[in-house]
Amino acid sequence: MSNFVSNKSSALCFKLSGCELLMVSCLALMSLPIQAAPEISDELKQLRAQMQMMMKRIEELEKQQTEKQVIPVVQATVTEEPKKGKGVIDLMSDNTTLTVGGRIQMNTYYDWKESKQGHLAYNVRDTRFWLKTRTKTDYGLLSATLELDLAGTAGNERTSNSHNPRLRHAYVQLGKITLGQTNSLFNSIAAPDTITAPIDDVFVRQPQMRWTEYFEGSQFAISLEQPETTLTDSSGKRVTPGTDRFPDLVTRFTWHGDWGEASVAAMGREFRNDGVVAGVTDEAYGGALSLSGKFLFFDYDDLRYGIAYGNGLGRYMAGNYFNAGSIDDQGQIHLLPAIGGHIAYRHWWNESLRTSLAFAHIQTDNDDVVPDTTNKLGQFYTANLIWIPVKNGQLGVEYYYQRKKVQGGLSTDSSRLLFKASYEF
Amino acid sequence: MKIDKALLLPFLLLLSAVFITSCVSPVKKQETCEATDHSKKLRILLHKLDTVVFEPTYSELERDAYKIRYAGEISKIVEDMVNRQQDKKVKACGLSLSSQQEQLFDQLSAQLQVQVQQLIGQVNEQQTEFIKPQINRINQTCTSCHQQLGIITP
Repeated sequence: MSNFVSNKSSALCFKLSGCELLMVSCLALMSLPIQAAPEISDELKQLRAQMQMMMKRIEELEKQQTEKQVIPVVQATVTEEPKKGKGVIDLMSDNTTLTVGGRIQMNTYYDWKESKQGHLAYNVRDTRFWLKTRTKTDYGLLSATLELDLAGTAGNERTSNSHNPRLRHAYVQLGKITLGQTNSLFNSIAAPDTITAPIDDVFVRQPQMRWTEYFEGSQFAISLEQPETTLTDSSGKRVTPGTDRFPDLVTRFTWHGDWGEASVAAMGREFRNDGVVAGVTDEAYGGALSLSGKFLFFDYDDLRYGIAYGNGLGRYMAGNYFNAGSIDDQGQIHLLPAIGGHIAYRHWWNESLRTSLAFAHIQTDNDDVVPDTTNKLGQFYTANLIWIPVKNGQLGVEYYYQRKKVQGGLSTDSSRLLFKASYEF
Repeated sequence: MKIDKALLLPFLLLLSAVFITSCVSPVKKQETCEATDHSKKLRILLHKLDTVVFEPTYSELERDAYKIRYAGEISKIVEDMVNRQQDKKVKACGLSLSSQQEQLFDQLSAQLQVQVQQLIGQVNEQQTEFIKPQINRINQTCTSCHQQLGIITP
């Protein structure tokens, strides 16, 4: 017994405190005289019981010591493996990914107009460059986009053709919120696949605040966008008072499925002249509705359509071909209803060769305030053939015929043959 | 305003001709299995994904939204295909496989499962620029399986 205790205590000595070691040693020593005096058996029993208790205590302490010595498992830091993608630079230090991209495009065109013999020109002004970042935040994914093109002030054709860069997009997206400048929510979602935008093009790019809600097979969005009143005065001049007070309000609902997609958009706007014309203040409220989309045919083909109508369309359609209304010499605003639409069929001859045929029409009901030189209507016909010789590269040829008519009845025709070469990088 | 009939008529004729051409385009009829059906759908979606950059008026915001949508549809199809491959009856379009081929099929199937889960993650996190390389990897796995097991795709 004593040997056992002695061995046990020596084995544990490195784990026990000094006090506990002393107690164990004392008990071991006490056991010797007890064995030497067998007559006091009761005392011996008590001592044995105490010994057992002490052994139990030693075992408990041993267990505790062992637990304390367990080294906690350190979780290895999981670093996201750098991912490879087109134009991707992974800024790992800030949890941000930077993507670079753009497009090089050369357009060549030859114009025919009634009064001219013809005109040939080349340009690369549709060339673009963009930067995108994406960062994970506590509030969701934060992405930012900046895009420029070369359609700013034109350079001269004599020497260097140094066209100036122009801002296209500058926006930040955090979850469902988009803030900054990008395409208007009112824009058509299914413009024809043509090199030249059709005459009814519902297209504006401007600063806005947008909320988008996604559902299965559909989405809803609402935005407050940059206001700008554009009116025609009695001399035919465009007037932009610049005294707007409320943002343009746009909402859109879009559905999509195997059949294609469809979208309805509504817009409400305030038009205001605060003393700019005739020193008086006047305001008017207008709006517009738009329906656009496409139906899919034969796996690859599609039929695209778009129609917009309202007394607040103005600058939102056809590159501000019409103003939203007129302003008379007394400074009073009169909104003018306008309508525009297109239909286009895109056929893929094979996976790299396609043709689009498109027709578009726009017109407005001018009043007596505007002069006879004010735009009244326009029509547009086009056909093209576009080939994708390499991934992200295109070569295309297109012909269009366009007719425009002014309030006084005078109409002008023009035709253009275009050639496009582009590469998206 | 009247639309000029002299112009509209040839335009409509041209439109009709293109549309009819589309209708009568020869489509090769052949025995298909689920894998070939999936392959056709995937081919169309891949084409849409590749050509969305050519849409004339889309912003990067809109392009990315379409890329995410198409990639989501692709991931659903591939995931469905992987799940169905667990069923031996639909394995490799019902071809009788040797034990070696079956082993290869299971190996590629497992690889596909991992790759499609990665794609789903990228779609959920809207990592648009990583989507196409990941789809290319999936495409390589599919092509490798079809080639090595002799599965005909449309």
